[in-house]
Amino acid sequence: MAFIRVSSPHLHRPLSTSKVMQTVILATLPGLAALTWLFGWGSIINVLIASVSGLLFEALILKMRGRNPLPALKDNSALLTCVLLGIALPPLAPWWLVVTGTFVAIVIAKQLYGGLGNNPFNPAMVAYALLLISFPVEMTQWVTPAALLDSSVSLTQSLSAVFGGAVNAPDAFTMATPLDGFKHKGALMADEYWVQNGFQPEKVWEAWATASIAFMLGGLYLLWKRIFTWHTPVAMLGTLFVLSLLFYGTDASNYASPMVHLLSGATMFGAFFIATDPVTAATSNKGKIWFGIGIGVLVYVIRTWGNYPDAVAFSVLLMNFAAPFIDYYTQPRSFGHNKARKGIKNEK
Amino acid sequence: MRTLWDFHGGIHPDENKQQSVQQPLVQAPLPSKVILPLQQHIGAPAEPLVTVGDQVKTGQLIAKADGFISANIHASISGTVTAIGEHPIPHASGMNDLCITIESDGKDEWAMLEPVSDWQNAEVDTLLNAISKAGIVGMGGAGFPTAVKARTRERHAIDTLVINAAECEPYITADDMAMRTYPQQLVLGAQILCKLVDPSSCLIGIEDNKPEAIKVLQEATKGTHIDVVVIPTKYPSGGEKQLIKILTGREVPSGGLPADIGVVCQNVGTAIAIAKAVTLGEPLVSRITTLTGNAMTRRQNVEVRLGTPIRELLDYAGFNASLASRLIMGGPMMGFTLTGDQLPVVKTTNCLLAPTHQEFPDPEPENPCIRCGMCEQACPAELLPQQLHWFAKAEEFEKAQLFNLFDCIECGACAYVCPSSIPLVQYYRFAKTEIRKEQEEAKKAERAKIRFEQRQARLEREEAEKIAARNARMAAAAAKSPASSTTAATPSPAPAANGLDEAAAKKLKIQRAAASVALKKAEKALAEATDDNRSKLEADLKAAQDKVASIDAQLGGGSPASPAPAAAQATNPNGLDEAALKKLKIQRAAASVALKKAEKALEEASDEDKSKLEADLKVAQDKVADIEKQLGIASAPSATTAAPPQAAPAAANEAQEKALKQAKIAVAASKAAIKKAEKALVHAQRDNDPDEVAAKEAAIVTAKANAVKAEEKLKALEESAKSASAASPTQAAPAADSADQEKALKQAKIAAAASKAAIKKAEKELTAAQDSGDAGQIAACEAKLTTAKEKAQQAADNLTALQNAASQPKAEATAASSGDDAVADQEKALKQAKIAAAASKAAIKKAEKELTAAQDSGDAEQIAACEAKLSTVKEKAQQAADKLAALQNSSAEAPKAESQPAAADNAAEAQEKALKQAKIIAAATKTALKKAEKALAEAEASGDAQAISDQQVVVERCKNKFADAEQKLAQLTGTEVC
Repeated sequence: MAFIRVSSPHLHRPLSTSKVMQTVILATLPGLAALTWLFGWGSIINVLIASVSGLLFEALILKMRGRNPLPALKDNSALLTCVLLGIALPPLAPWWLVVTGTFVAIVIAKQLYGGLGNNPFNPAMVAYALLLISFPVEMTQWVTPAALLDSSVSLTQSLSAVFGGAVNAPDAFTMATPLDGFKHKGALMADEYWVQNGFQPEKVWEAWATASIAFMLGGLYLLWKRIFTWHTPVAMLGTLFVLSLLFYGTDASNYASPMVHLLSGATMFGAFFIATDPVTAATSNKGKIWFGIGIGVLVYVIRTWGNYPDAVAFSVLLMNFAAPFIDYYTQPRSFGHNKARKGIKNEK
Repeated sequence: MRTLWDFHGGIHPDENKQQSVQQPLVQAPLPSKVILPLQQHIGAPAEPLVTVGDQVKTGQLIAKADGFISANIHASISGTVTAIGEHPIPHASGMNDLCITIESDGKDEWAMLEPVSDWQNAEVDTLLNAISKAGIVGMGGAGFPTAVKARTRERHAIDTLVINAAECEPYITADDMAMRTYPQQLVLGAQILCKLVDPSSCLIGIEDNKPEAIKVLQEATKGTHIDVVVIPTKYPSGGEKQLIKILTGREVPSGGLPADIGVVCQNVGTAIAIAKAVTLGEPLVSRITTLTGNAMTRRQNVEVRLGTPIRELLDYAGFNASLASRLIMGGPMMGFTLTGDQLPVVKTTNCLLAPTHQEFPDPEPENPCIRCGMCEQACPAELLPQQLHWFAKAEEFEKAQLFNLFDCIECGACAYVCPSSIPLVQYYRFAKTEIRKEQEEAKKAERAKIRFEQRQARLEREEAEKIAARNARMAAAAAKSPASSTTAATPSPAPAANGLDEAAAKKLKIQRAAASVALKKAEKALAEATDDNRSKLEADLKAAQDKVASIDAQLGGGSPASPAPAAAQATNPNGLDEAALKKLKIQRAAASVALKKAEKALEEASDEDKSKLEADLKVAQDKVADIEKQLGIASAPSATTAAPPQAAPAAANEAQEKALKQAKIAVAASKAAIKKAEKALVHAQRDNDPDEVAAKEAAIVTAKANAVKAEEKLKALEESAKSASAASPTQAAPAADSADQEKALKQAKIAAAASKAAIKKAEKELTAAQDSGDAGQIAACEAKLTTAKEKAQQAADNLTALQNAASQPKAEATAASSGDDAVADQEKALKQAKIAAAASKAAIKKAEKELTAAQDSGDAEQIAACEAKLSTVKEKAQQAADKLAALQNSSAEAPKAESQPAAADNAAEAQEKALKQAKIIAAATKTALKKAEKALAEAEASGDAQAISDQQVVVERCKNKFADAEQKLAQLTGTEVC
């Protein structure tokens, strides 16, 4: 009689990588639903195009790398990346923009660095940043909230906008985002800006806040499921809140309020779905806090004094650079030790 | 309610404990045989006390503890010992070990048991003895000998005794059932432990998932000071460190023991075993083991005899092999899989787990780590498991250690939560093993190195002792052999002495070869060296040269010893002489090569190195000459076989020839010096520097004088050689004598050269120190320089004395050559004096230069120091000049009619020189004065009162000096006129 020899432990929690990824994808659904409800079909079309093309790219590149594509496709990591990218891109973005994005995310940012677990930068954000720099016009046209349009954009209209390209330029139903508008308000006071804008800005603002809260709910679900810890989102949102409160408190007419910072743009989506990507973030709890703080500071700085209306992608990428360094200096104090070790030099 | 602490991380796997607590604890059927490994504990294996065929009774000691950390083994059934040998043992690695196999006789007859009566009043040692006799070890898993742990009080102050009843692993219920069945014995065991450890509190830590056991224990502990502390269920709270943290809030330091923080922790099973051992005298022959897993039909706890083959237990439990996915000894978190069923139950076997495929499916393939950090949230040791995993995977063991790999308790919580199914614990075990292996190898290498070094030291010591003994014998032989050579003109060969000499010579030659290699290396290094480390390398080179020289000296001392008697005894076998001759010839060849090399180096060298290299060349030349001389001496005896009476003169001739050669070399060298000086003069004239020109002219004059002297000497020697060829054999003895003397002379020369090198170095250092402007360092360097110069003077004196002595016997030996020798002697002294004069002149020049530099820098202190130095140097120069003059006078007065005019010439020359010197001094002081005046003018222009007054003082001094110099010059001119 002979039995297999396996190293302990013999028990295993029934939570696999593919389950984790699946849960995160599920958690994006409230946000995606809100986007669709508020801005039309664009985001769902984005997500679908991204998912199909992304999985194709993943299978192709894995084949080229001599790996079996099936297990990798099953782990849902590529799908998650594509869903996140699809959500991040403006609704009704031309199809080629989305495909270019997934190519960059899956092939370049992920697989060329060694595949799952080995990419130093968040693939979705690499793609987003590249598209933003390469196609600024397409990337900054955000759909007008449906509530402001006489008749909401129909599915056929959306599809023709996405696949028709420049012929049916969707100028009729695009407008600047609140952050974008605020950025380019010029010398106007904040209140004046909101009033002057012809598109009933409260409704714009409401739409963005609703979507943000929907993403936040998804994030809280993930927290509850212990897919990630509270450290990164809380540190990022807290930092952003404190910084914006500080400046808003000193000069309310020139700086956006904390609410604007937290509930518009990609703040909530970034805090719960982008910054928490474990592969590219810092590891220890202490490290995650520093990682989140860094993102919060960068987001505020770039939004307020930089050239871009939103800054989550750049901030996350910049902090991805710093993650290994943060890891070395934020080791936890291990059991039975007086203090944590800093750095990787032997202190003996 | 007690305060409880929490530890970081931990997991909550399905407990699966219900299956095995439905049935009461029962005795397992007696096994048909038992297999008892000699090592079921941490520490040294026990030593068997029985042999194959012995009849044993249950509870009989069959193997006794070997060493402090070890444990007794007892027969767990009665029967016959059938084997003592290798048998597979339950171990994660599936290895074999020594086991005692006992075939049961089915009777289970017990040996006489010796309980401790009235344990409350028994001595601590009596109780400890009882525990250690019973072979009790920690039954929770590690198997540390309990008696040793109970003794911790001897070294640590213990305030808390913890009875570990947490039993946090899923499936296992052995402790739970033991508590339910034997609560009184557990309490008794705890009380005995309290008596041994003497803590202020005794806590039983138990997880809240065992309500029955908690209830029973609370009943049993009523009226005692033992507290039953219920803790929340969380894996791994039953880990010793974690339980102590939960109960006391203290953390066992990394790499430390619970005793370090005043805690001793014992398992429930251990406490019960202690109670049995003390009150019943029953040794550890059985334990409670959980049989569980869905591949068994009878899932329950059994009390099983140690050594029972698990096959028999599985049969009892209704194990279905086709259902089982694996067979585990221990729990699902930390247990290890068994590869067969012939393994025995041991003291630490708390569970046999036979899960089905549904319960424990085969492990998933390992997926890439996504750094999700779930492992970090689960780790009770607060490590970064995923980082450790990366390090272990990349074999970056150093980093893994920096991330506290060795604090990992291998609880498996990280691997349990890992969504990528990475067998993390396996990675850590691998890394730990590799690191331990490396450390072991490093230790081994260190030990080997120490052994090697010790061996080398021993060999060297033995060699040195041998050499010393040989030298002593040789000295004794040498003392004897001259006696024999003087007393007995009769042929009495001393082959023994010769043999010894030869051996010594051989050894010396080997040493010499080694030293030569070192010398060569040092020279090479010097050639390649930068200016920075040149001085150091020069010192090395010097040391190497000295060593070679000393070995040569020894060799010279050793080998001439053999030719010497040979010269006296014509009957000596020729073979010996020839061997010595050959040796010498080889040496000559080597020395010639060295000479050639040195000459070549001289040609290629820059002016700076030249003087140094010339000294080298000189040494090399001397060496060649010396060897040739020896060769002459050695070859002489071989000639004696043909014409014995001519032997001694031949040796004398050789000596003379050598002298001749030296003289020739001296002539050549002095000619070279003249050429060099002339070149330098041209150079100086081109530069239009009056001081330089004057100095160079003086140098040329000196060089020319040297050349004349050398040629004279050469002539004299040639003449004496001519006369010696017709001389009588009486010269034999002096020749031998002179060999000794020449050796001493050579050594003295080496010493002189060394001291000169030292002076040079010291001067260099002084310059450097002056450049840096550090007054203290300057003073130190000056002191050093003075010492070096004194030494050089001593060496020169020594050399002179030796040279005088060398010429003395010659004078005694041959009246004809005495005149020549005296002249040569005087000339030598003269030469030395001239060298001294030249050196002092150089020193003056240098001092003046420094003074100028100091004046430029305007540092009053430094100026004063330099001036003091200059005056000292000048005094010395004066002394040297005086000496030179005296010598020249005395040489003029030498009892040699034909040398009278020469003496007069010398006197005139001396005067001329003095005049020149005075002129130089006057010029120098004038320059200094001019400079000082210039500096004064500048100071006045700048209007700095302090600087002006300083400069005025300087100018005043310079003026005085200038006046002195002028006066002296005037005096000298006066004498010349006279």
